[in-house]
Amino acid sequence: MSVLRVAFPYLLFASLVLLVVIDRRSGGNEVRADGGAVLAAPSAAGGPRTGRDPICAMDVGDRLTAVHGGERWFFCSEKCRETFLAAPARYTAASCLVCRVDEERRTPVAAGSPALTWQGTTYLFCGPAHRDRFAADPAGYFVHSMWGLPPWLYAVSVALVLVLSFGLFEIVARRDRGGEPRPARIDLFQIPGLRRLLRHPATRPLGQLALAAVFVLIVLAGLYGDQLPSRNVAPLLTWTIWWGGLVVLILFAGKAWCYVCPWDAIAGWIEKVGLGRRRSGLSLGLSWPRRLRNIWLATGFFVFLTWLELGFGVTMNPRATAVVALGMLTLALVTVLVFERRAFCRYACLVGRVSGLYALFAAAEVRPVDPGRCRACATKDCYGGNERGEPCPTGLFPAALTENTYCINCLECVKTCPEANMTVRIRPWGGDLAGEGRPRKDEAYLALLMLSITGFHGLTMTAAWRDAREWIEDALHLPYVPAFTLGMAAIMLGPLLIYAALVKAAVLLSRTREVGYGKAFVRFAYCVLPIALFYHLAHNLEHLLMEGQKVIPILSNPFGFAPGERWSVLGITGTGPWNLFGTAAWSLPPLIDLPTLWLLQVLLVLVGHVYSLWIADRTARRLYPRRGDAFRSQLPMLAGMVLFSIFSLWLLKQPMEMRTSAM
Amino acid sequence: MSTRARARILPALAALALFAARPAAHHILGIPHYAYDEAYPQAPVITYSVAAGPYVVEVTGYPGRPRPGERAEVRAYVHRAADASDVFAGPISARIEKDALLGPEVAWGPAPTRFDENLHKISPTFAEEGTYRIRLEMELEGQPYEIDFPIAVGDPGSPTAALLGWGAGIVMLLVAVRAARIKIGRARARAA
Amino acid sequence: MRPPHALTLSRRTVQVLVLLLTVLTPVLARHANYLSAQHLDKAIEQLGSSPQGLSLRATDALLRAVTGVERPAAELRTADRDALLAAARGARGSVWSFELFGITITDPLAALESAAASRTGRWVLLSGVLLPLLLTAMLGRVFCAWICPAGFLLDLTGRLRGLLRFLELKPGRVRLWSGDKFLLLALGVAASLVAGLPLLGYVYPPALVGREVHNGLTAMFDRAEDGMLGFSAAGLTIASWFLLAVALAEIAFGRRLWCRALCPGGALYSLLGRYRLLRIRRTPARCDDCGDCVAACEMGLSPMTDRFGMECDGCGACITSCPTDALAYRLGAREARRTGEVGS
Repeated sequence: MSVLRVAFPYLLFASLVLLVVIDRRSGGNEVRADGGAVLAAPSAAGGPRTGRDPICAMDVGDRLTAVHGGERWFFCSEKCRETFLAAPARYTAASCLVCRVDEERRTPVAAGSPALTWQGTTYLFCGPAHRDRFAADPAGYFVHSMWGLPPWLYAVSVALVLVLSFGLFEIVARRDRGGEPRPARIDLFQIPGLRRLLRHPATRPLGQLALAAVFVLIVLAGLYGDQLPSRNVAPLLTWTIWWGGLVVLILFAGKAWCYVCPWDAIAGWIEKVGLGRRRSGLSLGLSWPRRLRNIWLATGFFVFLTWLELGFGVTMNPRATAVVALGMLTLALVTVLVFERRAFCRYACLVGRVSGLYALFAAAEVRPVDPGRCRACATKDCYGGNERGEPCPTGLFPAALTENTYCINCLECVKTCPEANMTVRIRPWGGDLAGEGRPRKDEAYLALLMLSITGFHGLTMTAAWRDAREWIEDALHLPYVPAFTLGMAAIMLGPLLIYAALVKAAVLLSRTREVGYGKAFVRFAYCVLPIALFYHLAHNLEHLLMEGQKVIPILSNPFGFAPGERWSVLGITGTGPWNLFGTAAWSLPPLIDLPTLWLLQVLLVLVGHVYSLWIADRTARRLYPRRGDAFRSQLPMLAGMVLFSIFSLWLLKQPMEMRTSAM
Repeated sequence: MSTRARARILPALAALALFAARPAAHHILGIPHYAYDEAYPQAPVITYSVAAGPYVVEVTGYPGRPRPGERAEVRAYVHRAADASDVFAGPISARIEKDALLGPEVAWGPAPTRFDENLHKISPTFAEEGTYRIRLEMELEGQPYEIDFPIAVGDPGSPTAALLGWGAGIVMLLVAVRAARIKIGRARARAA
Repeated sequence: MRPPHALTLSRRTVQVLVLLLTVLTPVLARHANYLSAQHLDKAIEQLGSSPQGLSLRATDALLRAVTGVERPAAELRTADRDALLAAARGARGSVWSFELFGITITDPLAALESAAASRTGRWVLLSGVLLPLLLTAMLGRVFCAWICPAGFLLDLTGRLRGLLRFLELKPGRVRLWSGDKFLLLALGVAASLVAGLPLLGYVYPPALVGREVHNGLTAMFDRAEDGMLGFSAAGLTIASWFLLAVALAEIAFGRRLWCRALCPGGALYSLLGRYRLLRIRRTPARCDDCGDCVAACEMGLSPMTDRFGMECDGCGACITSCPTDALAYRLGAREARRTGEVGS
């Protein structure tokens, strides 16, 4: 049983990869629409493998195609194809782009219509007014929309959520397990050579160097490159690949990002610059203010960044992306220069703190092999450092490490431990959440905010949010930014209030006064982490799998220089586009088709839901020694989780407005 | 010190750098490369002409590239395409948006333009360097039209200066931190 | 504080004058441009009191002082304009190759490299190097200490070593083999010969300073004509990064590190000044072995033990630093016999 629990993440991942591979290999399905008669036909051989969906403007592969008027048309889903086949003439005729995007109607245009050439393609418009509107913000007209879950899948998945919740709840509630299960862990240092590799002083700097190079590329591309998000590598690499990929990384490798984090790396190098053999560094080494020894600062940064990102479209703006990246570096640098150790990583880094909470769930950990030997240890080099490695940068005492939250996986303790007693292990998902833990109020609030922010993140990409925001603007006569801020505050507070009410209900239902409201609030907050994590994953998988492949052509021309353009980057000048890897002209289909993606997303939401239920159950049992109390206290939590899971599924059902569109 | 031995590699490296260096283009002297303007002394004027329904909108900005704090004149001449003397005299409202790091922000307006001698005029003074968009809104024969007139103030082009400023700030921080550390260290030594 | 020694003062004066001349020539060229296009009065008016406008005015005043022309720019007669133009074109180029009042002064490295690249010898190359050759043969490598604008700028940035010391970060003292520069010179000349391109000019700091100043000022005036009067980093080039790197090395690794060990021009001047007639000599009787001169020597030589060799650029720092006046310029083609070693 415990082996299965450790293996489950990998089995799940393997099945996802299998799904993607099968999906990529499965043959195309093409229909012929000749004069209204629709005939099913086998896939046409030859011809281009990718094309633009005429309905939703997404770049797709040749899985679903149709032949009309001697031409081959590509579709993201059956829905788009059906829409097309119902009236092909409407979509094959050239139409005004502005009418289509802004007013959702099709105005046919002919050769003589007002035209504007942008990025090498000429677009025709119904009139000069629309041409000028397009000219004012051409990039804005290439955001494509993507279908959400079809109704049947939505219905099935909601049903599954309900069945799983109450069915599982029954089973779990009836079973009475005695004591904690034996921890299932696999020591990775059993792999020959791995310990030596990770203890080698050059291993981490090499990884950091690679990431620092990518960081510099992102900053330079964002500052100097074409400001069109689909041509510039900065937004794609940052928000799609990194931020999306980070969630996957956390699930399997915990805080591995911190091992190679370029912000910490560059700040650390600057702090050590030119000091040669001296070990002291340039830092003032003040101790971090007592009042800030919590993660409220990081939580504040997280909310602020989300506000910037969603309110001002940082994800769509290469220059803003570069500025945010440089801003993070500045924060890291100032902190490392003024305060001791890595106070930034420990208290202020939003990425570290958010991933720290998620990493409670992760399938990897850095821990002492035998805590008994640590107790007998006299030197405690893991805390204080020695000639082989730094003192613990986040000021932890690695020998007593029981949770991933504040560990930044720097592996200095692996280097410093004189007994070789520190190790890296893999474990089942939810490892730290299942245990006793050290619940803290600031962490609880961050966990809840993570839940509402991930939900809000998805919500902002739907039309429902746009309508709601416009309603606020109209009702209160507010300009965009205050209206957005107000809406965001409301949506962030909503789940918090609901959760507070549910906790109150749980406390009342438990019919015991042993556990107060405050304690229950903090304890139960950790249960929402898997739901938030897996919804986050489901949402970002969409970006990662549908847009991630574009990094291959863009990396060849990361600044997006146009033919004939005279460019100048920090004094280096030249003309025309780059083609570093020869892939600049490649056109790649998304890694996965929409229908398969939907299945994946539903699967992930369900998995997260089940894990949350399991953790809620364990939390309740620990809080309430009597089984009946624990059972009743779980009911409101269960209701809340079902509510949020259905909300996630509803979000996935909405058509999404995707960022970098096809160019 | 063993740098001596290593030092012999340096010429080889320098020779490599030598081949990597590229000559910068020389400015050709002796040929005046600016254009003469009948209406001197005027800095270049920027004009933009666009068809709006049956009308033609001609927007002129003077100077074409105003300096920060310098008063600019922006004039729109709106007339029927068929007849240049048939001038649109209705209201036009204008708004100035500045391209900020995080999307455009409204710097001025919306406010109606002055109509004077067949021209719709505004005279903005741009306080800051940057790229701006002047948006003119009008209703021609029942149809609303928005005309965007881009204008750059000063030289907002390259982010290099900002990047160098950032670097200088970091260096100053390093110096300040180091100096503070020495001061603290001495104070401690005295106290001990 | 002691007043600066007359030797230091005169050296700094010469360096400042050369740097001013380097900055002046592009403005002079610009002035001549406007003058010949009959646009000078309008340009001065248009540029106003911006740095560009002020420099143009200053240049105009200078030229009028030289030629005695007094009429305002709008009312110049042909003869006045010709006189002003002749004066404005009186100084052209940079230390890489100057033309001052009809006399060409070419850096020997430039001449050598051009000759190698074109595989010809031309009279213009030879006539240009006559004066530098003569000076170097008599005085040694004085170009580096007295004329080279990059050397002057390095002297100034080298002051930041004091900041490092203030911050208790010991500035480095990297010692490179001084023969490296000869290798670089030989490699560069050979490469020029093979490639048919003058290449050393791209790693020779004084040439780069001249070129960068010229390009930067030209770009500034070009931009000013479009109404952009502010500073811009648009003039940043690879060459400016190279100069910055040399300056940083000066601060972090050692004084005149580039000049001592890597500069191809310095190598050539060293060779040419091998048998110079004027040298700094020590009077052993007056020397009290305090070692101040050794600390003062920016070329890393040891005047106290009579180790000058061909590297000495005659800057005179050892002379001014000597408390007993044991060091002085003396005539004599041969190096003094070494009479002492550095103690312990």
